[in-house]
Amino acid sequence: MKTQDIKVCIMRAGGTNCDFETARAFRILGAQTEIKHVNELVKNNSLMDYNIIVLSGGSSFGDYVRAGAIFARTLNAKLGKQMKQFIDENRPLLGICNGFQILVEYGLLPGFEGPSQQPEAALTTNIPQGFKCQWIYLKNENKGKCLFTNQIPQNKILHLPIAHSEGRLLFSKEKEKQTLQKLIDNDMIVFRYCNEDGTTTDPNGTYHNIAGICNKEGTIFGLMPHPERAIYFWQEPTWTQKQQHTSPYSDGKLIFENILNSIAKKQ
Amino acid sequence: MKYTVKIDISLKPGHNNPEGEATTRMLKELNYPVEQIAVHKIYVITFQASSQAEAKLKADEMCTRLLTNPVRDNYTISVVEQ
Amino acid sequence: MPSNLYIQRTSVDNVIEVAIAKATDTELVEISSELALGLSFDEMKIIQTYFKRVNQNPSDVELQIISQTWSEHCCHKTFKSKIIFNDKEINGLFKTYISNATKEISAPWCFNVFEDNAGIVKFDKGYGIAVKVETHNRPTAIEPFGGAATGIGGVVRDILGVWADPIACTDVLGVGPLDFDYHKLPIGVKHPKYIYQNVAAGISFYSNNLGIPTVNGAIFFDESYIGNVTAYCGCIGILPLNKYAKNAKPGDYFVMAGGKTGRDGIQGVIFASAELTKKSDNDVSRPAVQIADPITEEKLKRATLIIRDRQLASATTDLGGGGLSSGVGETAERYGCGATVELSKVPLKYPSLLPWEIYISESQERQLFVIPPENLETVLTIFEQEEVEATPIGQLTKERRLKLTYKNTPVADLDMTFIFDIPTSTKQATLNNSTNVEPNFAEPANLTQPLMHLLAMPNIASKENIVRTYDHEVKGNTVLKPFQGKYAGPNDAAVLKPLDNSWKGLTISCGMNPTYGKIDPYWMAASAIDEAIRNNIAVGGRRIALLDNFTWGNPEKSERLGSLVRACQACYDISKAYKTPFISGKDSLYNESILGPVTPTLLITAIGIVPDIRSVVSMELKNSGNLLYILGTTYPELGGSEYYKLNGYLGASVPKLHASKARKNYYNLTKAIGSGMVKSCHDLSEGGLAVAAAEMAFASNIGLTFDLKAVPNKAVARNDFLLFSESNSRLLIEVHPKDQHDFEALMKNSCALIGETTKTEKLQIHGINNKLIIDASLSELRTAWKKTLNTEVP
Repeated sequence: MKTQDIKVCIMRAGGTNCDFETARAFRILGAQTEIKHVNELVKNNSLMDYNIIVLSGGSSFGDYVRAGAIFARTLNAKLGKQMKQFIDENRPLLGICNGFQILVEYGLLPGFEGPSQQPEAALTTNIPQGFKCQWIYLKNENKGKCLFTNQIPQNKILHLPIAHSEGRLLFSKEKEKQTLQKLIDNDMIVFRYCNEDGTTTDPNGTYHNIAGICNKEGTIFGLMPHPERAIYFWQEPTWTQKQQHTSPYSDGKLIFENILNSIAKKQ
Repeated sequence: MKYTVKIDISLKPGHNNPEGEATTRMLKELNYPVEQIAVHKIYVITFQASSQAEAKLKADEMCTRLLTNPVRDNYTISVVEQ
Repeated sequence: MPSNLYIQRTSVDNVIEVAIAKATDTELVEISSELALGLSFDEMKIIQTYFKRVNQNPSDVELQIISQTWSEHCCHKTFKSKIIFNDKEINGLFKTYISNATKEISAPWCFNVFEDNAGIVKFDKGYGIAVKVETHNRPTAIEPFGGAATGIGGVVRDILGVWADPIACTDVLGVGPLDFDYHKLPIGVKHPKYIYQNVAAGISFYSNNLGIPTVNGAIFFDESYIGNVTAYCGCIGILPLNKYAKNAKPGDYFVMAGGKTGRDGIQGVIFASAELTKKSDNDVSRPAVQIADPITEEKLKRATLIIRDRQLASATTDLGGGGLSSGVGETAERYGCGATVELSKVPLKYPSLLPWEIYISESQERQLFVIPPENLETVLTIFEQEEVEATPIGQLTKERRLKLTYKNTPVADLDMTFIFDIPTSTKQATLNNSTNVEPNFAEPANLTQPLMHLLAMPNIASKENIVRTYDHEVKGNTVLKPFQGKYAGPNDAAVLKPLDNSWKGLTISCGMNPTYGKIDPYWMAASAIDEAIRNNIAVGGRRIALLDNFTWGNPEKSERLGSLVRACQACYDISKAYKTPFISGKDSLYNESILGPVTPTLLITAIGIVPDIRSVVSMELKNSGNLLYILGTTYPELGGSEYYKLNGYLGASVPKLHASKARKNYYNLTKAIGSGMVKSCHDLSEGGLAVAAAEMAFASNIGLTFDLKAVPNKAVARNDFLLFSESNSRLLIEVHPKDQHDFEALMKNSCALIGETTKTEKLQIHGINNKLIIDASLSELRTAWKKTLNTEVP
């Protein structure tokens, strides 16, 4: 499949707000990109027309109940069957920030035994509490399972921004250790927060410094940081300090490029 | 019949409680000898059900399907007949 | 109480009428106060004459319409009225000093100024930039979270009101000192810390949820803000100029969209204009603030932009102060029409609202659209798809009358020309002679210590913990962020790249010097304008447009009005001198509490452009071994400075402005930036030269050493004054040695080489006595700057 034939759907509902820049990221890499309201996908029954579904950042449904909870239930209720088919066919699904929260609330991540009836994780209030907009470093710890990062060298450090107040990944306290082991065994950990030198750090109190995970198949990926805000060099907070810009792009582009390549290769 | 249920959601023990801790700090600064704060979320929901038992069952369903995340939340349900 | 004058209307059961014709003069004043009309005796008299002439009793709806239309908030009476000052008559402050400056500058790139909800300037590729800054003081004082949130909601709808897509927000806050003693607070006044934290939370909640980056702003601390919280919310939008639809005509429908209407903010307009007395306690004033709903606004925004792009509407306006009354009335007036509205069609939050309440309610997240009949169905379908409630409520008419019905029964029928013939008055203004004196104290032996203290002063210290709760990255177009460099130094201006297919950037900065306002309102205003402009110049901004936002005390008091006149005169003078036109503005007067009046505060917002964002300059030092220049002259001007404040003084020698010289310097600097010679550049403001130098150095951890003897000055004989004077129009500039010759040739002696960047990770300054007077490690300086406020917030 050629990149220009890949159809990407950025799905939105009231309160979604990072859809334009997410669409831009796919568009500049050559994919066909559409921003669609959930209602439109329901009306046209068109979810299966797409090769990638993206749940972008924002505050869907005002983050009421819990961030992502209402969007997840809406999606399940209105498009549950198509979603199941999409996932069963191993078509990739990406959730960024609020999108990650939706995937967790939907039971798609971690989804050890496939989609779960109830969430198996939570993305909850940061420690220290409050919204934080900041550039951080991430280490790619995935060994090759994740379709969104498998061409990025393992242990490579990426520079991306976070902007959230509920990004602390949490598992059931009594099963915390076993859950971590399962994530490791199945190569489901993708990104962990770190410092510029690679030593681990933790901007929001998240468990095991985890910033992003994928499902067992590596087709569903959720992360708190915003790769779509790190596409061009001039988006970096330190770009003014560099003498030369060897590339017009920035680290976030690697993730979008990676998934488009994965699809192009597969089909 | 119309029933009103009160669903009280709290954090499972063992989890960190940043909201409670931040509020504790602020109240301490205002000179209250606060030791601990638990932040609960309460929904008061009115709906039709045939019996109190059914109302409670429905409310429990609401909790598992939307209102709570089992990883994080405990909840209790109390039913008030109307 | 003239209760015998109130008559229940027989035709409709929830409207009363007032037998105004037989009211005595005393009763007229009582009617105004009982119906909370906020109208003066003279105005009531004009109303009485009108209704006598048409031989009718006004309904409560009609009186409320007039009250709203004539309120300070809606028509800015003070800025339009005649003023006698120094035996001369000023024919309206706004016209004389603000709009005249713009008219005389006559910049071809001004697309639409002062007419609409926001000022619009041309940008690139057929796009325009719309900007509006609102004052939102009172609601923020009463309920800081909701006040700040609805302040953003309102200004974002102003931007939607000119068909622009909101792309950035700005927020400026004036609060009391955070360490103010709780026991000294009067009843009903909230503690500055409570205000500070909750305003920040409100801004973060609303603009983050809307997905609009908050890119620029300021937080200023002053005792006068304890009782008079000062809050400014700004929004910048972008629009294709050929889709700026403002061509409404008779027969077009009024469609109301967004949130439902409740009793929110009823009389909020009058409340914004009446002096805050102790009656403004929680019970009386709380309806002025409501629960904000950013998600409804987000959906409203989507629908608005779809309607714009498909060119389905003939006009739009936000429903803000004055509610439907302002929205419908001003739209009809603008297009030379009349209007009909059926009030029972307005979707309500709860039943039992009276017709007049429906018409003047200020419920948030509502927008008014004017739709030609042939497009009505399509527009309603779009709203339905976006899950936005929308209802046609009336029409524009050829007949110049405003006719309101409730369930088909007339409840108001007014002559448009009467409503919009707004009475003006003549006010007296005086200026008190300043009694401030210059302090007399010895130069301290150790100057590193005062620098550390200055960096920690609340008005200088880092507000990073607050600023990072605002999303400044969303939309992915922020080129210069609030903090730049590896160690997060404070940028002078934000830069956005709003169009994917253009390298052209937008520069956004602000200036505000309230402390100078305690000494001299003219130089305060001049300094605020210079600061906003030089912040913009520092990053490479040019073709700068200005916005003015006044927060002042009660203009009925002649000396308050006098200081307002002086500030406006400065606006005219400096705007003309710099050829930077005003394109929009807003005022909030009557800011007085039992603790006294607000310090006269003028916020200037400056919007410039850069031809290519890749050439913008940030404030952090770039490399060791580079040269450091200072632009401009240092004067012994420490009146109102942070250094005097640190020593417990106010002083009198407020910074002045030499605008024609400064303009030439700025022009040359812009050329130097454009040709890539400037590696970093930072504006000198609060704390003067030493603070600016420290900030540049600790932002990237590159050392700096310079010599005060080389600093151009007029009669400044002390090291501390050279270090901390806040003279205007000065900037620090880093230049690579290879560009020394070209740079100096270009700057034509206006710049002085004072030192160089080093590898030492230290700030070292030599005094006029050749001694090393400041020797500080960058990490210590950075810590001093960061620690004050960043531990205040959990």
